[in-house]
Amino acid sequence: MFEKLTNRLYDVIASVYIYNEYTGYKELEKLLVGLEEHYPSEQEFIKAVKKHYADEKKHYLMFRYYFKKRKCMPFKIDKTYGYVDLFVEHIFKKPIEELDHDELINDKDLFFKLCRLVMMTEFRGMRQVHTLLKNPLIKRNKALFKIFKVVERDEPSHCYPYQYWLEKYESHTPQFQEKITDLWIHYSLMLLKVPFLFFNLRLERMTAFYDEKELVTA
Amino acid sequence: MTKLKTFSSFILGSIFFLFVLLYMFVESWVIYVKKMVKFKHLYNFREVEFPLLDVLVSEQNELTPSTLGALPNTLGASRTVAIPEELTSGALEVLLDIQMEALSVEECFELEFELSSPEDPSKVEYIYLFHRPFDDQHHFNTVPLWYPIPNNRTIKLQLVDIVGMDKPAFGGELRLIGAR
Repeated sequence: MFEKLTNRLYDVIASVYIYNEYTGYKELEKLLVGLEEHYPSEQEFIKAVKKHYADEKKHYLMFRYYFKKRKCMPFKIDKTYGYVDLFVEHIFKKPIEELDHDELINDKDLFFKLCRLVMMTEFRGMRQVHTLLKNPLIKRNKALFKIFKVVERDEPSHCYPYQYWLEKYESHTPQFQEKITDLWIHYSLMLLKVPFLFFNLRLERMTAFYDEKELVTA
Repeated sequence: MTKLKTFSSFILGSIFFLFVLLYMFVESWVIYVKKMVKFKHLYNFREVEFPLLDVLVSEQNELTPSTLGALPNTLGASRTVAIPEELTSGALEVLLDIQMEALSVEECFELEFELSSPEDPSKVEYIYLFHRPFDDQHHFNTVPLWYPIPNNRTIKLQLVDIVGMDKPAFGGELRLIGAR
């Protein structure tokens, strides 16, 4: 019984992560296209964002690998559980799929906002993975523990480029409204939404991974 | 008179002793409460918490790539290699690149390696490689990572798991590409 419950918890956590990694790299892909077009001279920054994009994609594949090893599929998770989706909705007041990346990159203030958003998401992720690695339940699951170790290794390089950009162009770091949004999203996820997923016995599993769905759609 | 003096010094000593006890008690609680409520700012991480903070490769740390050995290619197999001193003298960490080349071009498979030091088995790094020949987007056949140089300059690379195929045909090497 205990084994069943812990496995469900692991699957819930990994499902939330795989969704977030997928959304993360998809959004970074669009951002990279815009960056290369508008700021071709900022090679150092572009290099860092490219690494971030590649890492997010690798993390997505690692969680996919985890589910393949477990011979099961992730739970069906929607944007209610997506950290970036929620952040974009709160800060830009529109759903993530309606974000116009060209407009974001052309408008200095909007781009600063986006940098702050990515920076906060990554700092939060770094803190979160650090907490998870200390958790005795995660330590029990070798496969998941190893994956989080890799995430921990990669995460630090993700937040600093955006922080560097804000400092370089003399913009401010996150302010009250953004900090409150970050806290609200984080704690509502941890204390309400993830427990809800865990206890929701009607929660279905996916039939195909996100990238496979994409191939079918294409 | 002497009795009174002894009695009053006893009382004063007791009061002082109780005061010291009370002070120690309050002080330990203050430290405890301070620790509990101490606000750690989210955007000011201490580097000690994340020792691998500087993970981007800068040009000054780059070396001419050299091979340290071939990748182990059967499940459970391991390879122990030495880090050459002449290239990395004075350095504390080396930048290694684990690069895999698939020989079977039509099958997808995923590999999991562990990089450790026989001297200190607790210092383990996990490496995942993904061979997906028809999907460039999700094909990862190389992983660079910083690893602290052990005292005896020996590191061990082990293939711990394969998913997707039983015995995939692949080669590849462990390369030394940087030091700092």
